[in-house]
Amino acid sequence: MYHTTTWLLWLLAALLPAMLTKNPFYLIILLLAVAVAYSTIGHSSPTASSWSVFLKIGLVLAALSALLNPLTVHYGETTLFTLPSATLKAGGVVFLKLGGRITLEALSYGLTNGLSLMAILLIFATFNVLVNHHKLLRSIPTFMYQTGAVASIAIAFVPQMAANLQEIREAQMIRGYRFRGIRDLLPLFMPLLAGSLERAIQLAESMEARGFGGSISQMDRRRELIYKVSIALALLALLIGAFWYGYFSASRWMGGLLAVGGVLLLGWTLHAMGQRVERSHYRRELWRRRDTFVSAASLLALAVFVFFMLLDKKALAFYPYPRFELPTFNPIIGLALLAPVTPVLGLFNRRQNCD
Amino acid sequence: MISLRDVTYTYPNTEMPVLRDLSLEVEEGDFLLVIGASGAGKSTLLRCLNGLIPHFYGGVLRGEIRVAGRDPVAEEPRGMSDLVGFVFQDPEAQFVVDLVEDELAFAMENHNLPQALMRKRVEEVLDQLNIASLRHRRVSTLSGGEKQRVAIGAVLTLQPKVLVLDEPTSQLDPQAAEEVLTTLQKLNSDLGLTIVLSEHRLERVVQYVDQLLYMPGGGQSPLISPPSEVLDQVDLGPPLVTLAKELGWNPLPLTIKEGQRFTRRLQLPSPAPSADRTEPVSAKPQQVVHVSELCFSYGQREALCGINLAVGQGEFVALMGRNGSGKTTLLKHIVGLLCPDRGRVELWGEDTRRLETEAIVQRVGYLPQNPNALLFADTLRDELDFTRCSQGLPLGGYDELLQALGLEQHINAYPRDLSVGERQRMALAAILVAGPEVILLDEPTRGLDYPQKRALAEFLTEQCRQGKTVIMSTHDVELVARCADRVVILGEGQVVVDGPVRTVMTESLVFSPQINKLFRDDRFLTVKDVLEVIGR
Repeated sequence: MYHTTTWLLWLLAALLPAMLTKNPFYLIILLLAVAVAYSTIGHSSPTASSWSVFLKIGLVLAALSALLNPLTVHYGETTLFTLPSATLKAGGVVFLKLGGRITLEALSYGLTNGLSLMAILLIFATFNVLVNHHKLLRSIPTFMYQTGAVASIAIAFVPQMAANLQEIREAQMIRGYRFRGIRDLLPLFMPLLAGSLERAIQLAESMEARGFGGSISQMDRRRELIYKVSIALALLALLIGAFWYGYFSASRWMGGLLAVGGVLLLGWTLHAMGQRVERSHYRRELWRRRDTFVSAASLLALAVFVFFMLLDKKALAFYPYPRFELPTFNPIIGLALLAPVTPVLGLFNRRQNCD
Repeated sequence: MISLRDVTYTYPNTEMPVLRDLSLEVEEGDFLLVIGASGAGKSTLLRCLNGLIPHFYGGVLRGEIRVAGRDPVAEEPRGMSDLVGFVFQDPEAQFVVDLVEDELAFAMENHNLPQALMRKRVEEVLDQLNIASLRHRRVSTLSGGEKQRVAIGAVLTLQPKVLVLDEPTSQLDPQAAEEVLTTLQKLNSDLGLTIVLSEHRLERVVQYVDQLLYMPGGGQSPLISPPSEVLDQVDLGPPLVTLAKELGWNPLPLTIKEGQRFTRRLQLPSPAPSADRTEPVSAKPQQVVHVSELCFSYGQREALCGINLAVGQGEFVALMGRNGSGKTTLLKHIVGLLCPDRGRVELWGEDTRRLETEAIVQRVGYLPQNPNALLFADTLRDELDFTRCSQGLPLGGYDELLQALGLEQHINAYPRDLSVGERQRMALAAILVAGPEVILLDEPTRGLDYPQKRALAEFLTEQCRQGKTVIMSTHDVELVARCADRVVILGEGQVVVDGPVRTVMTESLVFSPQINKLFRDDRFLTVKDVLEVIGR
């Protein structure tokens, strides 16, 4: 449907505002945009059923946050009503006061917190439904390809192990086995462990017999040293840059520059290390015009959020204490929050062309 | 193409070599079948051909191995992967990625082949193996035969000169095994690929083979010759070969067609008018299992749909049918592991829904398909004690059982160190040690060779004689012909046929044993039947 890189940019463009803002208007727009993306293109995915699970968890978390915050936090000037209260004390110090004065500020803060949590969960749920996991694993950088292969095998092992455990449980049950305590886990655990190990050994044999692991060329010591030093330098530049950016507000640009330099150096080193892997790729993901469209929209939205984060933090913020005021609404941010809907538009455009 | 000179190999931490002074030559384009008892070193020999031994297993290897002039010991399995393609027993355990097409490309990616070449080779292999329709499928959704053909394809994309297969059909049902073996025969005859295969189902493959290598094990020297010469000297032949040897047919026939040349000359007495030997003479036995209108679904998929079955004490019933026809589901209902959606299952007149599983398993023993799911203890003795202890029975008293199953020498062995056949018998012992009155077996012959199957058949027949009831799900027509009284064929969750073994097997083409195919006479299902009629 879309390139994995497109989905990764989509994830960033949706996740960044969900983590930056507590403004309920923005969060609601974001939630709706993500829900539209799921309901139009995600519901036909093989993993679509997981979305409703995430939605239920999100709703429970949001409800808990909306309920517990006003019950436990009594700060704020607008009293909605008063409940009988109970306090938890230890040594004369009040640890928790439940009930009492319920304020509009605490309620709205709890609600926006809940919304934010739900937005983050649903963004991941939608990404999970939309992205192809195997393409995602394949897009792991070349220098980490062995890690990627191990991860993809581990993912495939989980359902096999679950089925195996069920088989073992039944097999032991018909021998009269009953679970009474931790020691009784042995008849379940041992066949599972031994079976998984046997399978792992056979898989390793099969991979080796097909040439896996022989595709990394040897590196001379000088080159190895260069890579090690440049990784150390890159990390050091990143650390100093971040420190500089935080503590020397007069010359922040210097810190920023140093950090960017560190990231570039790290990127170059890892890329150069990846060149050692002599391994080709059967599949090349196709980059279509709609990928350019969605990626551009996501990058633009990201630029908007970064701009406001650095230069006008207040536009994103919402803090109801001490007195509740309606949150502000900036139409540019509102528009940028619609970036998660762009994959739907991209596909709509394709259908139009097909017609 | 393949040359071994004085190869001796000993696994780590053992003293006895598995291969001793083994020498053999295989010509380019030959189809070599490796046979021998479990533990004779078949898998070890195959793994020497691409260097998995000694590189993956350690141990001490002496002698000289050359494959197309290259040395697997020096080049390691990775280096040999473009020359020797290796396919393993379990199709599940050799897949790395989830899509068929990606799996086919995996080996080529490791060899850094250009993308255009990979695409071309994938297309070629998809066509060669007739699996083009599977290219976009997930490997987890394939049937056993399809999986094994994809596994063969995954090594063929490197265009190896030698294809080595270690019992590739031992986990498959007969139809799936047929698919795989036909594919191999085609690869050998169409492409001239050298194939080295270890396999128990000789009757399906022996006619395609150029050379047969018999490995007796125990350090004895192996035998390599054309198939009929080897089979003449060893006791591992299919029923046709066994009969031919008994009747002195020469040259030894390997196919039904070849065998029929001899049967035409055989003077057989005409059948007596009342020759139906399957009619029970004794009074109707007590009904032990009664299944009525049983229906069961796994989610949306209907597995059983109105099954009716009654089994009496001392009966030996074989459940047959394609994979997914509901055999295992029915057995699980009888032992109370599954609860019917509709209908009922009764044991000795009591509804299983009203019985605790604990109460059922005291009288009903169930051997699942995979013996590894059962075995967990350090020794066979511990396994047996565990069953008796779990069911509140006193320990010990299992010598007779071990003797009957030929396991006395393994009483202190670690189960997972033994061969598939031995593990299968160990699992059976672990179930039977509780003395169940009904024995349920799910595919008990996977990975067993002919003598092992014969021994199992004799053991189960003896159990029936002692008044026990046996219900066995199997694809093995020869085993059924040898020991069952009655055959129930399931199809899509329903009973398609239920009748005496002789009637059902002689009226069917798919479910008829080799000897019946040979004579097309309902008096003959086994070698013993023929020998009895002609008075030998």
